[in-house]
Amino acid sequence: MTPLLVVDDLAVEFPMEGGVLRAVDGVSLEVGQGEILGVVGESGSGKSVTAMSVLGLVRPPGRVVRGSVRFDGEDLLALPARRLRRIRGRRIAMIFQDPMTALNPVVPVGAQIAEAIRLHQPRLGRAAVRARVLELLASVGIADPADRYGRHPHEYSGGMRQRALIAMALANEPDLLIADEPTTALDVTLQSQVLGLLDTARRETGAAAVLITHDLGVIAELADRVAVMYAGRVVEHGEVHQIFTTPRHPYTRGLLSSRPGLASATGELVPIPGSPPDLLAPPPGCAFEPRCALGAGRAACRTKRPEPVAAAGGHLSACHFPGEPA
Amino acid sequence: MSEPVLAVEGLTKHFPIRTGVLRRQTGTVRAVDGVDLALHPGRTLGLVGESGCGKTTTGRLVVRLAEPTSGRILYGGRDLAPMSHAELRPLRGEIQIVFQDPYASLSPRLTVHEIVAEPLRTQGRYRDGGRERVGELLELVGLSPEHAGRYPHEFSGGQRQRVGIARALALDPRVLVLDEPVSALDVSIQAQVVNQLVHLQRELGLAYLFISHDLSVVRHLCDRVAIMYLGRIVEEGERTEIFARPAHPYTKALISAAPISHPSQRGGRRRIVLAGDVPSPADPPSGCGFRTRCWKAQERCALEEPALTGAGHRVACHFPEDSTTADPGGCYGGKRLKSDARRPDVAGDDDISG
Repeated sequence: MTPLLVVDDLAVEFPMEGGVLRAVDGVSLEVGQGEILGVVGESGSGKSVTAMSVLGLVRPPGRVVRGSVRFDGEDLLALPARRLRRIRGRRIAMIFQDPMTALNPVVPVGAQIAEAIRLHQPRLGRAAVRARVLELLASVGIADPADRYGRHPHEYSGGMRQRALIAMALANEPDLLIADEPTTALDVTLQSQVLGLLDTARRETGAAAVLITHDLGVIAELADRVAVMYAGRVVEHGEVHQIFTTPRHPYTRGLLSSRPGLASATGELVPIPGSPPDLLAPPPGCAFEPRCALGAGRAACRTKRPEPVAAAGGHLSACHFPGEPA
Repeated sequence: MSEPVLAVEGLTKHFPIRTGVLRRQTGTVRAVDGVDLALHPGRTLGLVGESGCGKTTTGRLVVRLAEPTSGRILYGGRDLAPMSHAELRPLRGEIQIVFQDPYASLSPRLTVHEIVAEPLRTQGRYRDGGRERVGELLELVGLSPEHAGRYPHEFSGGQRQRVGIARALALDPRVLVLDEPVSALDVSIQAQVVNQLVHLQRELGLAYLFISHDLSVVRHLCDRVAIMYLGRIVEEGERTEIFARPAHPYTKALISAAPISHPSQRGGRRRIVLAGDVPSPADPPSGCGFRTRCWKAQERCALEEPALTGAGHRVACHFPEDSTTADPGGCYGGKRLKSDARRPDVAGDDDISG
C-alpha cells in the first residue's frame, strides 16, 4: 500500500538579517493510512515549519526551496492555490496549539464549525449543517451542544475550546489530521482527555495523523511511529517501541534520559549540555556534535554531515556512530 | 523538623469584580482563600494545581507583590502581611521570586550586568564591590561573567532563566519563590536548570516554594507537596506520601492524568476523567469546592466545607481515599495497574465527560 503522505527531502528557508535561516533541511517523512506519526523535537527544530509546508502555509518571505510533499499521489507543493484550498480543511485538517488564537473571538463557535462544513459542502442545507455541528460538538464531549452552538469562544473554557477545534478539524472527515502541540496549552487533566479524544477520532474515522510535540509523554501515549527532529533535520525515525527502548541517535537518548522520570528517585537529572546550534551558522558536520558525548571531537562528526542509515526493522538514524554507547 | 523560615496562615486574596460606569463592586473572585503553608531552610515545597487555582497569586502574595486581603505571612518573627512598602523594603531582599517567562521578565534594554546589578543598586549595596558580586552571581548560576555586557536577546531561554535566577539571588535571599521556572524551557534545557536549582539550594540553604503544574518535575525536586484547587490547599504532605498514597480525590485524578513515560504503559493506567470544568472562583460551590466534579460527593459535601486536617499528611475531604485501597507502589514504575480496573469510580482511558 502506498503511504498517504510522503514528504521527500523538504527544505524551507527564511531570509533573515544575518543571512538565510534554513529551518527545515532535507526532511523526509511518510505517513501510512490510519497511522499516527509523532514528530518530536525542541523549539526551533523545524517540526512546525514542516507541518506548515505540507499545508502550503509557509508565509513569505519564508519559502520551500527543495523537495516534494505527495498526498495521495498528488504533489501539494505544485498545486495551484485553488486546488490546495479544496484539500485543506477537507482532506487534510489542522489542529493548532492555542485554541484561543485559532478561533475567531467575535463569531459564535457553532457558526465557525458550520463555516468549515459549508466551505467544502456548499450544497448542504442550513438545517443539515446545524445538525452536523451539534453532532460534532457532542462527539467531542461538549455538554448541551444546542446551548453551546451560539456561544462565543470566550464563553468556552480552555479545554472546551480545544475540543471545539478538534470538532472543527473532524467536520469534513479528513484523511489526515495534523496536530501541532495540541495539548501543550492545556492542564494535565485536560491533556489526557484531548489525547483520548484524538485516539478515538482516529479509530472511528480511520484518519491518519501527524502529531507534532515536544512532549515525549504525548508520543509515548499515541504515536505508532516517531520522527525525532534536531536543527531542521530528522535525526532518528522508527517505530515507537524502537525509539523508546533502543534509541540509536545520541540526541534521542539524551532527550529520553533528561526527563524527570516519574518513577525515578530524587537524584541528578541528566541534561544534554549546551544549547541547540544557531541555524544561521550551523556547524559544518553533524549539527548535534557540539553537544554530543559520542562525537567528542571525532573528525567525521566535525566535518561530515551524517545521512540517515537504516538498521533492522527500518529504524533510521543519522549518526556516524549510531547505537554506540556513550 | 527545623523551624520554618517563612509561614503563611489563612492567606487570602479576593479580587473585586467591578462593572458598569460607576465601577461598582458586583462580586468577588476568591483567588486565594485561606492558605496555610510553611517553608523550611534547605527544603522545597511544591505548590501544584491547574491554571486558575491560585498558585501564582499565592506566590506573589508570599513575596508581597500582591496585597493580601487577610491572613498572616510570618517571617523572622514578624508579620509581613500588614506592612507598608517602606517597612517591607529592607526585607525584600530576603524573599525573592523567579518568574515563569524568561523572555518577559528581563528588560530587553538592559545588559545582563545591569539586570543582575539592579537589586543591588536599589538596596544601595552596589557601590561596595557590586561589580565583583555580579560576576560571582553569574558564575554561581553557570554563566560566564564575560557575558555580562550582552543583552537578553543574545541568550537562549535556559540562559535567560539563569539570569533571572542570578538576579533573584543578588541580595542573598533565604526564601525563593519559583513560579513555573522551567515550564517555558525545552526538556534538555529544563534538566540543566533543575540541576542548577538543586545545587544552589544545597550550597546556600535556600527555602524554595516551587510552583508548577508539572508533576514529574515536582516529584523530582520537592520534599513536600501541596495540591491546590479553587484557591485552597486540598492536600499537603511529604512527596513520597502524596504520590504513593494520594488521599484527596482531586490529587488522585491529577496523578492519574500525568502522561506515561514509555509506550509499553499504554492502556495500563486507569485514567480518572473528571466531569465538567473547574467552577468559577467568583462563584465557588457551597461546601467542598471540588464536589461538583467529584465521584464521591454526597450531601454532606455541599453543606459542610472540609477542613485541612491530619498530622504530616493533611487532606481536606470528608471521604478521603482509604490508604489500604491505594496502590502501595504508586501509580508509576512501569507496572500495569490491574487493581483499579474493577473499581466503578474509575473511568477508562477513552471516556470523555464534558
